[in-house]
Amino acid sequence: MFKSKQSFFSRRPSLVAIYLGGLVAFLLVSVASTSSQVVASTSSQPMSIANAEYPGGQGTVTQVGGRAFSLPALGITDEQHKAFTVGNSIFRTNWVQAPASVTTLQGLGPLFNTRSCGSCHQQDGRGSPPRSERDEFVGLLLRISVPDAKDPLRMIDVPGYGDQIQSQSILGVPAEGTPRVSYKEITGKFSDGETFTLLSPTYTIENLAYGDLPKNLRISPRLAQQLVGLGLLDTIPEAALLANADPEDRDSNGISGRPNWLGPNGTAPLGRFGWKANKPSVLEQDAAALLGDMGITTPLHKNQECREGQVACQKAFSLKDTEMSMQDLLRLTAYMKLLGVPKRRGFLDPEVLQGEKVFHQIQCNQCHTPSFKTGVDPEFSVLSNQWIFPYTDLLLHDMGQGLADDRPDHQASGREWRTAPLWGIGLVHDVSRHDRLLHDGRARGVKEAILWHDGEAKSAKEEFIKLPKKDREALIKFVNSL
Amino acid sequence: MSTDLRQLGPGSRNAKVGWKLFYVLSFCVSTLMSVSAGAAESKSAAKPKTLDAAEVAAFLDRYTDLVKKNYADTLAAAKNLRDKIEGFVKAPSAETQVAAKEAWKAARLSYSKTEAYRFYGGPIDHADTGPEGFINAWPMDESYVDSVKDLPKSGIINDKQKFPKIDKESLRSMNEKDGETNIATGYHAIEFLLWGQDLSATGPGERSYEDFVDGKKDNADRRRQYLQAVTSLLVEDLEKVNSAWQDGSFPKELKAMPPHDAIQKVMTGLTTLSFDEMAGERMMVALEKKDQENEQDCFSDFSLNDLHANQLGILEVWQAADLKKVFLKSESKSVAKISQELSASEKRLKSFTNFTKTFDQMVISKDKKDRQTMEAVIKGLHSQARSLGQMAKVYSLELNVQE
Ligand code: HEC
Ligand code: HEC
Repeated sequence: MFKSKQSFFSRRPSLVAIYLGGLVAFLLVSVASTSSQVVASTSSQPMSIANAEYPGGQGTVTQVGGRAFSLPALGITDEQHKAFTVGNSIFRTNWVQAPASVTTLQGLGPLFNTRSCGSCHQQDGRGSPPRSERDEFVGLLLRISVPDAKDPLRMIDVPGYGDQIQSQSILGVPAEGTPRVSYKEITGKFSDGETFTLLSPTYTIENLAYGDLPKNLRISPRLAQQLVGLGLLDTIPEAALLANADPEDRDSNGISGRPNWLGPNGTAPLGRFGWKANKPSVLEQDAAALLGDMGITTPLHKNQECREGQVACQKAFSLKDTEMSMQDLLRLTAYMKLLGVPKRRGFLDPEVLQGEKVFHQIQCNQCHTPSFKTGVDPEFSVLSNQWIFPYTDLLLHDMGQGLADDRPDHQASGREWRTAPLWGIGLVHDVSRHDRLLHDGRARGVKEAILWHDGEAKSAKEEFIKLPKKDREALIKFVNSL
Repeated sequence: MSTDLRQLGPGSRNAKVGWKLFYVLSFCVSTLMSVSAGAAESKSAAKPKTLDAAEVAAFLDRYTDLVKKNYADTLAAAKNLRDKIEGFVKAPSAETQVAAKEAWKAARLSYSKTEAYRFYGGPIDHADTGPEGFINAWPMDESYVDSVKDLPKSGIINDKQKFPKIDKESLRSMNEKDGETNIATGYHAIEFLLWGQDLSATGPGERSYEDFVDGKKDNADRRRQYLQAVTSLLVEDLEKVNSAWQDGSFPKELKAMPPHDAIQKVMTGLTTLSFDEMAGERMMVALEKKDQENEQDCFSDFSLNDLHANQLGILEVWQAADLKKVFLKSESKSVAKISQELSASEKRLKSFTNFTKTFDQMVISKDKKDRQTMEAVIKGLHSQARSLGQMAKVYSLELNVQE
């Protein structure tokens, strides 16, 4: 069911003014910058209207609090809602070791990180780094690899362990190890003299069950992300993303923006998901999470990843039917694709508007691209032809040595990360009751996240440090309104 | 350069100038437009109706009275449950166990009505302080709490090494520790300890009182401690919610809001409960997955009664607290339709509770009629939520209801 322009208007009558405002401004800009090249809606498709207050387009939901990331996009069909609802239950429910009385949920492990998707992405939100040095890792996991002896630039799986430390296991199979983190404080100063403190993490792995780890081990810590609007990101036309790519930095603004091509030798598909854009679609991300994080096989990954030497693991797993059916995997994927993006708060607050100006002034938008128009999703019309405001280009950027994991991932170098989408970021606290940001949750809030920016984002960071306090706060308020 | 709007506006990094202009212009335009908003609206769509502030204030008083009464009842019922469990734990027997189970059912029915006050960040589920996750989280992974079939040593109760002490504090910290279904507290944890796993196709779980008798089952002492602690926690959490209403702190907050926002909250509670929770998570999932354990009160087979009480809670806000009066003057037709739909759903669910079959039997039933009966209930719940949502839209209230 596609909503016509009319029904969109009638759903939110009070906002007509703003839509029109945005549209008029848009057309004016278009005229101003390239006079004759204005193309509004030429095809038979209904015209969508850009409205930054509704960052997820027509499906945007109005919700704050613990459920802010958990609602389905508005405007899905009854059938889609059914799939969404069942997918939600699959996402939240703990899997159990086979054999069990609840036959639909057996197959956990042999090795795993947690027993449900919802353990790491609590309420579809962001995981938390451990609260203290002795706490277990839950929403944070460690990917690992080691340079190939023959070709040190190539990363390969770690013998005996694979590409991820799995800290839990079923009875009778040893877990791989226990990750730990400790933080060192570093301090700095804004130009106006105000000081700040950042937490710089060091990761170690204890209780190794399958032999020593190599000395030149590379560790990439990754925090579970909030999961709103993924279907929309999935639907942005590849060409629109590549239009922003500037791998050689031809416009010499210090910012490259590289696509992460995931095929052999840098071929398609294009990576979009994960902190290094190392998964091409929501479906593949889900199947990989099922296998890597929970030990559940699907038609996409029929074999467990028991490594050489993991004898108990190999014995515990017998290849029968896959543990999750294609039907359930598709329901889970429908759920992931349809989680709605929350409406912005304080959209017209003067301080927020000031912050938005600063955001563009100091060129945060060079990577955090405010807006795209989605293409067509053959299955879900709510995802199609939407103006969305995700604040990301989904491309890779060198973020400096401070954030580097030194663990290349497909085309992504050890210093590169995908620009993180900023939509929903102001609601992370509502949902997850913490405000830890960046790929490993080292930043406590938006301010620290910006202060970690370096490499290609060095100039933006330095501009931020130079800003008067009032503008810094306005900028942070703007980001938190997203 | 292509002739795509995206290239000119926000999507493009290279259109730096375009962006600045865009922003400057959109500021001007939006200022202009907000001045002339009325005019713009009347051209493109019907002007939204505004709520009558006096009507809303009067309603919020009635609503507050209703909520206060129902939370007070719920707290009293939970205290009664605590007493009965005290009795059971001191002298476990078939009789004391039945008394505790009956008290649980009464407490559960009372709580289910109050679920109509969830989903809007009120005292029950406020982002920072709401105890809902401790009170009512579901689904429950029972093997996290106690042994289950095939896993005789599983659960906190049987793991002395990892959980040396079982008391209120330790349970509090374990609940939702790593996973939404690691439910160590709340109604469903108590339910599991009283009834046990539901492995029977014809009735509820059949846990013996001897699980709580030393020498009859491993860790009986720890099972008793668990049951006691978890019930005291429930009472504590409900006290917190209850007092935020009784001492007037939350009602004051609600009334200080613009009428539009306050009504949007109250109504979001109603539509979310009927569409997402009752029809969605509680009925549709079970029906789709045909899984016996996928029901809300899966140990006691009490889900149908819960659902009925949920609907009563919704109906009370509409009828007893007279939410409909807020809309009656200008939307009398919608009001009549909604009243009719809410009662019809209530009747359908009521007839459910007189059924000889339980929820899980219906879910796995081979009889087509059972499925159709459930589908009719789901449809009715969807429809009542949609009607509420459509009426709300006229006032530009956003309730997140699927159309
Ligand atoms: C052990 C913790 C953990 C579990 C369990 C887990 N995830 Fe994740 N999830 C993560 C992490 C960490 C990332 C970031 C991955 C990366 O950077 O490669 C992530 C990323 C994702 C993303 C991509 C988000 C984005 O913005 O790019 C999706 C989708 C996702 N997870 C879905 C799932 C699903 C579905 C499940 C259950 C099958 C699941 N996850 C289970 C930790 C987890
Ligand atoms: C050169 C590209 C670039 C620029 C310029 C840039 N960012 Fe980022 N931003 C990124 C990348 C890449 C990440 C993810 C880094 C990581 O997780 O290690 C990120 C992460 C963030 C995060 C944390 C997001 C999360 O989900 O944890 C915030 C907040 C943020 N940026 C805000 C800003 C602001 C504000 C500015 C302007 C001062 C800015 N960024 C400029 C690329 C950029």
